[in-house]
Amino acid sequence: MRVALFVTCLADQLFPSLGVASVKLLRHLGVDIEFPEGQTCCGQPAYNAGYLAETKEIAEHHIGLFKDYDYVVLPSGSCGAMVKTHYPEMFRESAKIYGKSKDLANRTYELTSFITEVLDKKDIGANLKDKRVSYHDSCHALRYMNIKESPRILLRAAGAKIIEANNSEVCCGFGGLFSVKMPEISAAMARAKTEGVLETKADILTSVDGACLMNIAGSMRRENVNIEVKHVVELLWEGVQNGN
Amino acid sequence: MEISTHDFKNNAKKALKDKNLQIAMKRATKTFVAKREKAISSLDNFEELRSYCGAVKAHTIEHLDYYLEEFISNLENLGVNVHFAADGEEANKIVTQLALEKNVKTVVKAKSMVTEEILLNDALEAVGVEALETDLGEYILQLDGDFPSHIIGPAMHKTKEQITKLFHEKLGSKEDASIIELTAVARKVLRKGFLKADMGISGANFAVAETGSIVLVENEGNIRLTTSLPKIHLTVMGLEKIIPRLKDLPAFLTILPRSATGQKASSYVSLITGPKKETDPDGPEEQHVLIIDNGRSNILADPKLRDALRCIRCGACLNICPVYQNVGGHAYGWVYPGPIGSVLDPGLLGLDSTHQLPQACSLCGACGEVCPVKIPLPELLLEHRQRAVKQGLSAKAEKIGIGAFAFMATHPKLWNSATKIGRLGSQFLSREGHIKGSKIPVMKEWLKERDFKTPAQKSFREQWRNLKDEK
Amino acid sequence: MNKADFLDKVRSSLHRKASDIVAPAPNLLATIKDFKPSSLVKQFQEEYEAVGGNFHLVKSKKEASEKVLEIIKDSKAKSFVFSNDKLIKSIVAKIAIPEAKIISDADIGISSAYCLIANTGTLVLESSVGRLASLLPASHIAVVKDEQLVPTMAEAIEGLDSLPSAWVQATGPSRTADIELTLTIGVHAPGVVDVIMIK
Repeated sequence: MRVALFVTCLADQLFPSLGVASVKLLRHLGVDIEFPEGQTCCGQPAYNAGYLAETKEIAEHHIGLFKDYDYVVLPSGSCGAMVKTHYPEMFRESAKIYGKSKDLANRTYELTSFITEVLDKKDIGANLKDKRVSYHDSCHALRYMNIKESPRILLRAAGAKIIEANNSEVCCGFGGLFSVKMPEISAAMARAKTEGVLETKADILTSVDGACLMNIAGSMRRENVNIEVKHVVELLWEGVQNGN
Repeated sequence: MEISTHDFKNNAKKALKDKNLQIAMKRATKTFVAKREKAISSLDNFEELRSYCGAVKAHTIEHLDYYLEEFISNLENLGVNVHFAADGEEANKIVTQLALEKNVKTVVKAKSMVTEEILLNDALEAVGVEALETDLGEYILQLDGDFPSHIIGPAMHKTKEQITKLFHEKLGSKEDASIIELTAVARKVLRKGFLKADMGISGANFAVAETGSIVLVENEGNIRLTTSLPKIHLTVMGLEKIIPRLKDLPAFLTILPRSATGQKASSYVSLITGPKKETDPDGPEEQHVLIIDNGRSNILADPKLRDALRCIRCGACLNICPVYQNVGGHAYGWVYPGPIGSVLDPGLLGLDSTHQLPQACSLCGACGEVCPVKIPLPELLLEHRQRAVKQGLSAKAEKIGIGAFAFMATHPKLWNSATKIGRLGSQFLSREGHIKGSKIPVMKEWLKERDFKTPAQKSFREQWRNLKDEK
Repeated sequence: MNKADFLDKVRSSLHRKASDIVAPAPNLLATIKDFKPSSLVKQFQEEYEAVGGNFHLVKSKKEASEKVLEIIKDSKAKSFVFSNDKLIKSIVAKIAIPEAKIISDADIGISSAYCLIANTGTLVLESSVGRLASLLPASHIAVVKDEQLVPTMAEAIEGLDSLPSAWVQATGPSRTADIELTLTIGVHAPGVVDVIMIK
């Protein structure tokens, strides 16, 4: 079984520790993870801004790069949704690439759902006992990839106490370029998100999407809110290191 | 109301700083969302009904020529006078001429978005006909010279404190009147209007082709009064309001109130089928129906956007939209705000003046999930963004930036060196592990109200070289 | 714009010519599944009370008549109006307060209903007996029979030959939430509603 890591451009450039944790966690679970070095970005920023021609070029590059792997695993729901949903939509009218895009879509997995669905594991030997965690359902993971349970299953199995915020399914305001095109609205949404998290009195806010967490953490720091914000993969890897 | 769709960004900034608006929006949208969820969970097959209603509407739109003709001929058989208008100007001319011809002094109006679209009240006032809004929310706005910010809760941008003050100043009600007292004052004033009105103007929630019925959904009873008391009843409706059969209606009446106000049923649903019959003790002697295009046929002619004409104006997409929740309806700059507005307005007004609206969205997808007729709102918002790019409406810097980005993303070596330079450069702007001020356009925007953590010195791919051999 | 031009515009927007029209046949139909009818009376009562209506079950026309008198007495109404049909005429014969000369002056309106929809607690009112008695006064009493109950709106319109000029489905009292989404009862139409059902 050949498994490739698509680390995502944001994790690669801005928070590489997420990539490292992804590799270590997957190796811990017996996956011989590979990293195709030609990878760049899935093209979502261009796609969401309406630049279809440019996105298609990026998508073809991405599809070609990962064509020989049984699985492509990534620590993000948003980039996953791009590949799984928008690639095939985009190539609906070009039969040849459509088939390839659909094929890649079928092989692409967000990391926590790869663990629960493909590796079929719940207890991964992580210890997050007594940690009070609030989980942010990032929009694309939730609505385009149907990821609601996987991260929660793994967290619960590690002994974490999940405290649901009443706005856990509400957008944090990131939205890619939206966050800089309409920064005032985006930041207001991030503050509303924080309010919901504060109500839970959780110690840690986590999610499958680093971009949302970057947005929320950036807002929290500006507003002097002290809650630890950590990607679920990093949190789980930390739990593994703590041992049972 | 002046159209300001082109200025969404500035409108939104002002809205975010408007304290009353922020209080009112927080109180209102949360209630709407919670009520809707509860009402939907009381139904065993909401999803099935959603699919059904979406399919019926899609089918109707695809065969609108057939069903419109059927509807019109049924109206004619019932003795209804049917009028047609290509745009707002023609529509207003038809209504004002009718009013003058019939010697109408006062018109009572039931809430209608299409008449807001064409500014009918202004046209009536201009020829000396009093037009009285009778929906409580609309009446509040008329008193204040304001305009609706929501499809079904037109005055939801106002706090009760603001309304109490308004009624005190304009109607002499108590300075500290409660909501119940305010409502009683409005009832009294408006009842007088109903009793003296010569004409009632309503919109239409649905128009049943098979029977020639106008279906009106409401809670207050003002629509019943508008369609019952005056001698003349005029319905002003967009051409997309048609549903084929009477037996399609129960499903729509099941999903509409649940999606809109979270009710199982609205207080009143009126099916108006022709004017008063000879044997009826009361009711309007004359019925008129004015069917308006006003840009809708442009949307109809556009196979990709056509789905937007399914909209039954429930407002669920507004309520769930986190952008709408934060900025309110006025920021969108026209009668249709929120996600559906950002989809419809470019179709009705053209993209040139509206292309900021489809950008007012984080593509979270929540609107698409709640739409009771399954309009693919996020896809249509993206479609508008793509068209804006094709039509050269996007910012030049953005176009160049995305072009360069795409080129690098398909040339990994270049990508690696460019990102490395960026990352190392950012270290110079770093203080306490975060970027401290920046003149770089994108970063400057980010830093307005948020911090940005300085990127790690070594990218993942640089770390991979060691990580690879670790296993 | 005349009708022909208007329809032509729609047709050309759909990229069709007048001769292209084929009568479409939508075969879809949906069932509304939110009722568990152990008893339609019980379901109607629950739904009607949930929206703020008062429900009274009586055994005979005589009892119904007494109930009407009782409600009127308690309401301190000074005048009433009623809809134009047999059942109501026989019921209002004994009412002690005067009939209002002008309908809009009446404190209470009494009417029948065409039928009742159980799953939403809805009265169907129709125009042949008059629209105003159930609309203008601040209180409305409907006198109905249990055999008039149907499970949903679908059954209410089933087999209907033609519609009256106004078919009104009234569910509970007049209400608004236009001020801060705060529910307020009794805006333009009756704020107090009673159903007296003869079983």
